[in-house]
Amino acid sequence: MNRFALELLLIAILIVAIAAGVTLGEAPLSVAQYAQAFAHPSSAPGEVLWSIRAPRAVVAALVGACLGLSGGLLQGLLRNPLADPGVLGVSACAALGAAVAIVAGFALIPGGVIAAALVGAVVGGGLLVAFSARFPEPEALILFGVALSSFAGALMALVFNLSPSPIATAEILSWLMGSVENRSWTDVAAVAGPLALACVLSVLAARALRALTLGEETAATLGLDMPRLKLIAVIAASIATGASVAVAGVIGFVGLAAPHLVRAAVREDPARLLFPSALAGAVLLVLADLAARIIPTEQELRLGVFTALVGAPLFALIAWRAARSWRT
Amino acid sequence: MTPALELQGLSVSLGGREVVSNVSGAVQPGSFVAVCGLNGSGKTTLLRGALGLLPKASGEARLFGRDPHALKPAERASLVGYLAQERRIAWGVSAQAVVELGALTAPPDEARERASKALAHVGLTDLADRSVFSLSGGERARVLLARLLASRAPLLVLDEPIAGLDPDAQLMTLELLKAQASAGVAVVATLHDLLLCERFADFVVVLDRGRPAAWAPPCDALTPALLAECFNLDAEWVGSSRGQFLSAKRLR
Repeated sequence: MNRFALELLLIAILIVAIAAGVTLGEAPLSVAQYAQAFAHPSSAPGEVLWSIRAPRAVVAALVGACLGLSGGLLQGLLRNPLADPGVLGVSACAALGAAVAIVAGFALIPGGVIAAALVGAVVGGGLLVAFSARFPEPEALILFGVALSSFAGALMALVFNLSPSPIATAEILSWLMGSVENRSWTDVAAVAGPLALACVLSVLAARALRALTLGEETAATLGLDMPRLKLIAVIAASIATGASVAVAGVIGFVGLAAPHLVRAAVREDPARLLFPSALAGAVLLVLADLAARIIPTEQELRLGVFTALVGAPLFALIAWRAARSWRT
Repeated sequence: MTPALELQGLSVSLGGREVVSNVSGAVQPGSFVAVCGLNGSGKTTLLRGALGLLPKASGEARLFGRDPHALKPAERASLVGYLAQERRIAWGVSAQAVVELGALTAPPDEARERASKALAHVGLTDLADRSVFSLSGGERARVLLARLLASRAPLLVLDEPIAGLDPDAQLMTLELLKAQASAGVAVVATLHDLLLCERFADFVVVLDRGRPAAWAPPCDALTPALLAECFNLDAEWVGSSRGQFLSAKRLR
């Protein structure tokens, strides 16, 4: 399958998945109510479809695309199939920003928590950019990312520890579990802009990822301005990850899984992989959110919990297969 | 004629320690220069310093008369094809895709055409669509050589191009590089096999703890005295109807 056919297929699946996300839900609607929702969007059933379910499904798609794009960028950049937006600590920094904002009472200001999460992501991404400019080796960047993630995690624990209010603690916990529940068209706009910017930057950085297939040293001699393009890739991944955490909280493993789902179809080319990976991430998260909504449980499953439950075994499987290939 | 590569007292430091000291010499288009020396003698650092991939401590390096540090990445890629010692390929891309990386800055159609011709040159047309992960070590080495040929650079620099290859693949690689030199390309390669240096190289550069011990034709460079001093070998060349052979044993 060529890339164009793969992208068309993924877009078709995504449209079907979003349509399912809009039409299916906890509150069952009759055929007459569906007809009313389509004929009169401002009616009560119309409100359910177009103001609750539709923005939720579209936010899930955009957040999934952000995570899939980030995963593709980071795996290509670090030449590591286990790289994930969470590995480099940007997700943790964004979550820390949100936690500090909640404890400080910014949750009362509209968009306050989202803005704080974005600031956290930008600070984390900025630290990574500064570090990678000084030490460009991928191993060094992974180690720094792990350290950054651990430090942000420790600060998060401190915030929990010092939080004066159990309500604020519960709210932070809710953020950490990740969700696209009750998202609006404003949230769609908040994630769409950064995603578009990350896509443009990814186009610029794509050839550098392809060059890195042969290693850092060889890539430096293939005719591209590698330091600049690698920096662009880190910035693109930071923006996309930051936007996703800002709008939906911490959702793990989609960034890890999405590139693997499409890698074989693009003949493992890390440049051609980026957009199919974003589309696969979008499909994954829309379907995961749909499953989280319609699986009958007393409390609705949190999206981040659901993706982690599915993703962690996948991570172990990938690690096992990678370890087996290193042995041969 | 402007040398493809010219060094004037080049010294290169790594981590604050001078690893290559005061190397001077020139590589002319159409010549095959072998760089040899013990492990850790500075061969890789010399190549990287000469190409501007490492900052120089002192002296000068010139690529076709130009300072490599002042070249734009695309300009340098058009002048030099470089095979690094690190051969790991991160993803299972096709052989064709790897070879096309040699012409990364060319328009896609031209890159494809150059890669196809280079693969045909090394006899791998039939394997063009195969994943590099499914190729043997020898086939993968030929793919990487084809990547250099696709660059069409007038200077090829190779760090241990025959390491890990069987005798047939070693000879095939060196014959191909020799043919490139005969066609006017300047070739610089680090080699550990002194016999193959003598057989294929026009000039041999010997490094001894980072210092140049010789830059001369093989018969003048690889003398018994130098082999004892730089390689710890009690050795002499023995003539035969099939060329020179090296009879050697360790000194201590």
